[in-house]
Amino acid sequence: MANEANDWVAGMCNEKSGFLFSHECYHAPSETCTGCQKPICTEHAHADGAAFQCTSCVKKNRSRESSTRSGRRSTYDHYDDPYFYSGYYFGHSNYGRGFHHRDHDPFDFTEADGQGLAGDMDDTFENDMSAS
Amino acid sequence: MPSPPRKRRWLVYALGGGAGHLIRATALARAAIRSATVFPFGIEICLLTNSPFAEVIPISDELGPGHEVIRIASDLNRDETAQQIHQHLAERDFDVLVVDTFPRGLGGELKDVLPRLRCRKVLIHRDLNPEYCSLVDVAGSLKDFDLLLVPGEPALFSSAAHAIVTAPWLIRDPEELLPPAEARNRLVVDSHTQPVVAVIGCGTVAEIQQMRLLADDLSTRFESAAIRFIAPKSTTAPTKAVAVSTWPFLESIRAVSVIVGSGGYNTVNEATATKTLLIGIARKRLYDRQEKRLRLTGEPIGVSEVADRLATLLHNGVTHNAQQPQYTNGVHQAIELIESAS
Repeated sequence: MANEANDWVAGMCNEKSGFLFSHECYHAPSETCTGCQKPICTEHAHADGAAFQCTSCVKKNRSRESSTRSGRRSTYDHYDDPYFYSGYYFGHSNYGRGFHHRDHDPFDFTEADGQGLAGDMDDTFENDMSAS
Repeated sequence: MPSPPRKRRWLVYALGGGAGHLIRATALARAAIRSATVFPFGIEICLLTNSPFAEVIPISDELGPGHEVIRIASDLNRDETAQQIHQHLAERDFDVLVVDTFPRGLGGELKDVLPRLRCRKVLIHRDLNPEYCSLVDVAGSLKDFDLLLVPGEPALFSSAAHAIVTAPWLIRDPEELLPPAEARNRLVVDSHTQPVVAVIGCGTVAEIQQMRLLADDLSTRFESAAIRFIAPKSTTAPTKAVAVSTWPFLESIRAVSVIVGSGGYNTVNEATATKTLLIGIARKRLYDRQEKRLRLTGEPIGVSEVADRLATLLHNGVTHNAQQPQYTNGVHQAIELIESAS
């Protein structure tokens, strides 16, 4: 169900999809998603004809479509977009493609992502003598 | 002729950044030294720390003469730190080893040493990051301890057969807190009625600086309150808020209406024990879970939300309880438990 327009925060992109982890996007909005009416920036706006949809709505639509069809992906799908790698973004080949092929959201690797990448702390445990 | 009875020797391992491990361990050691009833010939303390706060907190004064504080440089790497720890353990004869928080040692350096030590081994079991416990065999090291003391908070292994939960451990007993008038005097507050907001400068260097700036900001916004930036060591940087160099802060807490601090063990438990309002900021730590601790008593917030929260509290009116706080300091029970089976 779409949110009411007044649920969205004005003046900033309200999309939270990220390449690795969900997080706030602080870019200025340039479009409004036709699916849920949220303000979105150019990075999170996906052309749908003359209109734009946010990453979350495109993901939802894609999910619905994939559940009702079989066979190969359409060349018009968004599978080259790193925002849609969720579910297998730890796969080596896809990770590499996404990172190198697209000038994606500069906020993608944020501190929040670092915290989400808890596995990276393995090397820190019992190595950081200033930890507590 | 029999040799004269000697003091019991405790070696207290309190490694870890920040001030938390050091203060909790000092609270225990200080109370043990002062406890004449538990062991009639006294207790001799050797406290090991690598906290940078050991340079500014007067630990030696807390313990008094006849005790030892070993300050390991905080900038050593793991191997250098481990080497020093092993050396100190080998050079000393002690009856009790008390390890704060890290059963394997901060760098894992105690793991192979503990089984060989023929003394009573006690772990202060503060909560730990479960991910650390799953990636590193923390549970396996618990069997090397004779006793796990859980200092007043939920902790991962508090249900272990040899774990005993005590009240929180605090650096002062209730009767040691300054009366409100004296406490206000120490915090440089002239008025007897003005609300006092204590912004605690603790944690990392960056966090201390952030709290100092926050105190400045709050001082500008809330002229009706006395905003105090509290740190163990005086800051040379100019501040709009009055900066007070005092330790332990708990002694002055009866002057304070609201504490703005982190979700560290001491700050939260001092506020809770004395029923002082706390605006808690959950800091990210490798092993501790400050957010979880703060959620036990309220809602942790970000630095940017402090001013709004404080405005609400001051608007609603903060009260001053003239009565001396009543709380149980868990260090006393801990000392009895440590010595009872030694």
